[in-house]
Amino acid sequence: MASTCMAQTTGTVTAGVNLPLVALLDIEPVGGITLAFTAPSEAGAILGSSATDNTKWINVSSAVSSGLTRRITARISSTLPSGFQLRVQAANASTGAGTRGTSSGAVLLTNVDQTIVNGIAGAYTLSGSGNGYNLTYSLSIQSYSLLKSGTSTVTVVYTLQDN
Amino acid sequence: MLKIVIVIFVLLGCWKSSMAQSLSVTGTTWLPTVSTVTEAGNDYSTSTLTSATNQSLLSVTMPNAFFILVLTNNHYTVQIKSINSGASWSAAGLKIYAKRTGNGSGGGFSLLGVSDISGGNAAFQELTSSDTYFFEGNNYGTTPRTDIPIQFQITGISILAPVANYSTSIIFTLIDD
Repeated sequence: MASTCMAQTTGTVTAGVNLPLVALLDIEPVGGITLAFTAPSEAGAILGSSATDNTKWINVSSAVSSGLTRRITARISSTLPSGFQLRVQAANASTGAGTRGTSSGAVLLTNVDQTIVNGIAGAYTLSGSGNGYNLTYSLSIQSYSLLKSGTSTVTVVYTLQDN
Repeated sequence: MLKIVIVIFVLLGCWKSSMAQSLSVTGTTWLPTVSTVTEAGNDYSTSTLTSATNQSLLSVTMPNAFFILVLTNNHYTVQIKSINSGASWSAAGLKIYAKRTGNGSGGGFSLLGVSDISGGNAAFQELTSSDTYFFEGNNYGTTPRTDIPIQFQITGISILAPVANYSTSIIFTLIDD
């Protein structure tokens, strides 16, 4: 009897969550690096082929809309001393999770943004030194004839931007 | 005589069930805010968002009993489901759950018993698009059981999920059974 006469009524609650865009990048550890050439001890010897450093890491947090990807670009914001070339290479990130993109390999830095990692989507690398994309800087001599002794400060700017 | 008795009880049953049992909900919107990622390299600090324990309050009113039925219990079942809209919850790894966190009050009584409520309070129950048993109870007379507190939970919050608004309608269905 009951089944043939069963009645029902409903009530509704709306629930949901908004997941926002996230685009965060920083360099760890803080502070600068020094790329130095040592003077030759023998007259006629070369200054040195290059100077390198791989102590810096890029940490990234990225949340994107479906289908969107991002890239990390690098550029020199000041003037590189004449006669030198500065390259940077970001290793692929192995920490964190998500779509962390692919390294572009060693990139010659200029005053124009150069892509060093591409194809980042929803991802995080974990925070701190030793996490994310390990940077290897390489300073090389382009032209001996343009070299001048002294110390110069160069700033490299990294940007996480949408494709 | 037997036929008359059967007809009376059939009519009684149908009349009882056709009365306006009702389920009302207060606190009809839950839109939590995710934490802000302040340090590059990190995910959200928590992957689970949990509402207040009394985010929604349900009230159940059963049909008026008739004659001798005023003394007997009127059993009901509440089912629950969620109907998602917009961005895909499953593709984002998001899930929504509900739990009954209290008994509310009221529901009536008679010489034969006192109202009760059970089920749905042991653990968070994942909601799907199909009606699923949530809890049940017995009311007496027309006294409603009011302010049955319901808590919700969303899991899978991560910056790995596509940026979007995720929305769902949680539907409670009262069955006079």
